[in-house]
Amino acid sequence: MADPLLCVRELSLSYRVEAGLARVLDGVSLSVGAGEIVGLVGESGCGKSTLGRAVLGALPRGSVEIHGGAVTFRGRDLLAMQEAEAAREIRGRAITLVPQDPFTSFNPLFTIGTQIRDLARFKRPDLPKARRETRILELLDAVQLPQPRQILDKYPHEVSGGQRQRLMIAMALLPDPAMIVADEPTTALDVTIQAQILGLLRRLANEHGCAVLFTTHDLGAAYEICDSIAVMYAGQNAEAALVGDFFDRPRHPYTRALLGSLLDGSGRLQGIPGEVPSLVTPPAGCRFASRCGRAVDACRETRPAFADAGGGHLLACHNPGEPSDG
Amino acid sequence: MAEAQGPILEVRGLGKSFDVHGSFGRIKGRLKAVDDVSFSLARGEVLGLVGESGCGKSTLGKTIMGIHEPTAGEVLFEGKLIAGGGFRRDNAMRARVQYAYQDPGASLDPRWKLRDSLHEPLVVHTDWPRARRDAHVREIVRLVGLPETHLDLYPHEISGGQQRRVGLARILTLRPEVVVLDEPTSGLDVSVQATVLTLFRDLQREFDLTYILVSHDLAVVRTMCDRVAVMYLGRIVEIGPTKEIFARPQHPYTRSLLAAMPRIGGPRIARDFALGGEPPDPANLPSGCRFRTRCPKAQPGCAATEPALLEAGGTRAACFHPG
Repeated sequence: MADPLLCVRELSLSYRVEAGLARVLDGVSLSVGAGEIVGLVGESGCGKSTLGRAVLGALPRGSVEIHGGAVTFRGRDLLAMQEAEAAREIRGRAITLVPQDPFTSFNPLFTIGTQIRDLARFKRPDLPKARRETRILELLDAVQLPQPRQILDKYPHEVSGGQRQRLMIAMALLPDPAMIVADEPTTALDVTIQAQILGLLRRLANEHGCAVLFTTHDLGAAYEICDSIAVMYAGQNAEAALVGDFFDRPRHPYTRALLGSLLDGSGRLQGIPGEVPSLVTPPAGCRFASRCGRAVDACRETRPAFADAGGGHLLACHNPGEPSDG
Repeated sequence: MAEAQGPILEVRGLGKSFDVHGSFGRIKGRLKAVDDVSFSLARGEVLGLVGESGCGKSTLGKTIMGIHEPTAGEVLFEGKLIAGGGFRRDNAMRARVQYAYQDPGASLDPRWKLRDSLHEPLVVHTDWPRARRDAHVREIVRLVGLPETHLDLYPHEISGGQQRRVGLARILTLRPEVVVLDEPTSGLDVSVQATVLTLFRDLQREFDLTYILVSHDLAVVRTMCDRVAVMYLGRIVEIGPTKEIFARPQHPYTRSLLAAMPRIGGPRIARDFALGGEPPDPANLPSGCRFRTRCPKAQPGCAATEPALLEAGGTRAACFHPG
């Protein structure tokens, strides 16, 4: 990609915790092209949600320390921008969020209509009231909610989880964003509803040209809709590639182990032995080394660079083996 | 399956309804969470209960366990009535059928050390002296793969996978014969999921257990179960051997569920997907077949009567147009 929409370069940040500083992101890079769906995949605690929040500027202020790196959106450095300026132009406008839990994101005391109209007034002051109302109905239609007018009169508890997630997507689309950060948007949903929501995200990207940064722990869901996949492990990049290349030729031992732990119907069970290292006192070198079957001395001593292993397939590994291996 | 022995558990016409309350506690209607469910379970078998949220799979598990009193039908354990008809089971019977909750972290007392949580069932159910209980607890903890030193920790000090092990250990201290596992892997990372499932398998062998595995995760059910029952709005719509259900599903709902499963290497969602809509309000069911409002094969006749669970292909399906 010549000029990506979003570019995260070697971002490092820590959370202040009781035991000290937990290095949650350690030199992480990521790019998202216009209209592209990028799957940011990893297990709990790998830093994928933190990265999504860093892009949105929604990190808990006061408990985060940024050590370095850059987040540029349309060529502008979000970390260097003034808070107010970023908030006015980009955060919540050009980049919006679809949260994991659509239930806690609504106020239970007000109707859905009241909450969407409030948001529309705030996000789209440029539109006259009547135009805002039609825009809301257009969006409810775009996310395929049945009977949009009736839904506006309901309270959040009166609609299903799938419908709440559709509402969250409609609300994220209100300011006509260039990019949506969808943080585990289908984790709380049934498989049939998940399929519908994934199909919806794919169509929005195709039809509205809206890019999606899709964080998920589910490689299967990422396979379904993503153009490219980036895998993180314990706050570091492991591997990133276009979706076809990624699933045909996974190279990082962690990616391979993760794919190997998926249940394939054969009855075979295979996990990843060991545990994620402490992020407060992380090991030098590759953070996956202690659980890796291919680890050599270099892995425990120096951190592998995240570099092109050929054809735009990015890899951070000292000893990946051949693409055709195992 | 050992037919000669007879089933360890038999569920006959089981039903569980809840009142739906309106404003001022007025009863607005009845919600049939479980409606006329029958099946039997052979000793050592693993039966999967699958379906979308609200289909009644957890309520069915809880009614079998005796947490809910059934409103219709009965449950037999080795041919003896254990639920239904106002029967109250005694402590000895409670110990033999156990329920493993979805979130074992939440079912452990945060102010108790794990040792105390593990002693509690034995204090309630046995008159063993402390030393004997202690030996038993240490044995079980070893069997679920936890270091003995963990006994002095509090629930928040251990990981999610380890909490599940403690939850299991707590149940196994009573040497149950049937265990209902409710969503045993939800919230676990895939790399941990495999180890937890392996543990279930090992313990089944070690303790000669029979499992009812309640899950919305079809991949887990496919890996672990001998037979699968698919539920939709309180009813079993299809039941059969796992291989048959996954290879040749007969009910359109089962087919839709399987089609929605992400399959790496298979067709991607944007190109191929069928099941639209969401399940209707369970307190206000459609007439006839309850799946017909979402069914791609529905005919006018489907609205008239409810289909019975009948032989179809290699399974039994409740559908007028199976296959």
